Amino acid sequence: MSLYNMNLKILIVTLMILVTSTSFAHADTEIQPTVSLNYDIEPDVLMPGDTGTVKVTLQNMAKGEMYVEEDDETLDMNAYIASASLDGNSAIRILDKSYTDIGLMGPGDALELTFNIKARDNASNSVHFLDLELVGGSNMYDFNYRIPVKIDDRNLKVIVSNVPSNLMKEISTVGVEVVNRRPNEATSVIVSPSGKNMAFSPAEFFIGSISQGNKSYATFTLNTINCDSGYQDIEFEITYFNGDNLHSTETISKNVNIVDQSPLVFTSLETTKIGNTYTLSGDLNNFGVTDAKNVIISINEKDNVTPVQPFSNYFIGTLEADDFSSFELSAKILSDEISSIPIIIEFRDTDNAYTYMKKEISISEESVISNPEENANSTGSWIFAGIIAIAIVAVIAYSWKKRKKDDAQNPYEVPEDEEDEE
Amino acid sequence: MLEVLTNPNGFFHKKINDEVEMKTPLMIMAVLAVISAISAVLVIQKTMELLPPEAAPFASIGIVLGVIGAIIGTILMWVIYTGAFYIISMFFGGDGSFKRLLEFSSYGFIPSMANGLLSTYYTIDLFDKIDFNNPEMIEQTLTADPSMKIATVIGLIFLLWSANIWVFAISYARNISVKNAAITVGLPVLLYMLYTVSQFF
Repeated sequence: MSLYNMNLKILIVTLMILVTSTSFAHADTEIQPTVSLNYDIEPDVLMPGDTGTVKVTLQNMAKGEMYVEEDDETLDMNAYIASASLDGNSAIRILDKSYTDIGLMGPGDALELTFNIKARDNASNSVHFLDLELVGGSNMYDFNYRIPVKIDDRNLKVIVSNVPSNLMKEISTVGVEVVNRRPNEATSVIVSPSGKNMAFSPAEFFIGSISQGNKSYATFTLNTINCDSGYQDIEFEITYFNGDNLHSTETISKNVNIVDQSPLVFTSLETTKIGNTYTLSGDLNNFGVTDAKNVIISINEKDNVTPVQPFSNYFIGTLEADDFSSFELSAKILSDEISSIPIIIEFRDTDNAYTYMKKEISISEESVISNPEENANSTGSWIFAGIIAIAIVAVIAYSWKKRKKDDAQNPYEVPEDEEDEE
Repeated sequence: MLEVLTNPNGFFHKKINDEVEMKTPLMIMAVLAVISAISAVLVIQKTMELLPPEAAPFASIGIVLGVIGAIIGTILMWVIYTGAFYIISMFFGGDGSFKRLLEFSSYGFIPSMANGLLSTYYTIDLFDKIDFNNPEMIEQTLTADPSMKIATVIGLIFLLWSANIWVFAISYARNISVKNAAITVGLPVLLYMLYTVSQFF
């Protein structure tokens, strides 16, 4: 285990500090309080610009009474610390420089001295040493120690592992790997995806901590139903904490081709016309890769298009991927200018998020099967009207012919202008 | 009397020598009024079916008003047509009495009886297709449905038949030439036909 990889780095230094002048030993025995020094750096490895802490722990290792009787002498086992200071360098700045007049530490007592440090923005990737100077003891001896602080600017990396190059206008699942290339743990890692007119669920994925040299996965449900066709970028950004320092990675883009194809496709469509009421029947197929739940298909009412009961809408339920279901809808069309019937398909995606699609079903003459009875009725009515017309014209013609004949046999005294005409 | 349908010239030729007799014309118009009233009742009943139950008491009032309106409308139509023919024929030197013209013109409404029955049938058929919950669409449904067009075409054909009878009726009743009588009848009838055609086609 490397010295720098340990969360709690312990370097025990045994300090032999003579506490007081009275602690001189007997001719054969020296009684000396022993002070140990530990330190801890948070975060373990800094990035340029990061702030962190160096925590120095001093502990009086003497055990027992504060005063020890030895050869009729009373020995003081307290350790006296006068001051402690930490010096920075060209890579690291010390924000809290020193402690003074610290005082006495009794046997078994510990003292924590915390120094705030900041890595300079231009700090190089390396181990940088901070000089720790302790002054204490009856003789005010100095103790100097170098604390190693590592700076490393390596960032987390996103690997787009599960995003297809071609997507339909559909609901799909995409995933990325987040790799921690740093020599220490990254915490509170969050992946944020984005894309034009794309909806991600969840909007952000919380991974948590990723230990050094490890990776983690983030998966999203991607809705591209409202995307424009063509090439679009899907972007991923990561934010995380190194100690108390917030960092983010560069945005990673993946270019995907959005194909103008809906995952819910109509097939076997039949449109039947009875008067101005159209009945649409057919199959709704799930051409996508995810299930569509609570599917309901309805006539999308608009001007001159009115849904007709009992099939103004049709509940299908769950339509699994690679499955289909039949449906039937009815609508009344009140204008000759309507060439298609608007349909709305509503459902919930795999994350139970509400989604809808709008489609049109053509009612042009080529695609409509007219009701035979209706056609027969309409044709019959026109034939009936034609027969009546012929009969009436015949009666009128007969009446004029009859008039001519009657006038020839039995002339009626007509007014002068008619005589002139004849 | 049915001779008036096939040989109006001969019918009115004989009739002009008789005294003015209003019994038959009144019967013709009464039958026409009854047909109109039945049509009105059926249409009102269909409409009332679509209204909420609270409006039920108004149904009987509506039917009574519809019947009265149909009878008055039939009488008014008879008088207005006759008046129009009388006024226009004045320009051609017509000299017969208004009463004689009223008598003769009533025979021209006989084809309207058959037309009334057919129109009632098509109207009821059309009402089944109308969405009365959407008032804005009623007119569009009326114009879009073929049964209404057929009813209109049949109505125009029957009107031509009536016009043929009226030509001879006016010629004899107002003592004008058949040509002038045709102009007298043709003017209002043509205007009505043009108006109807412009509405539906």
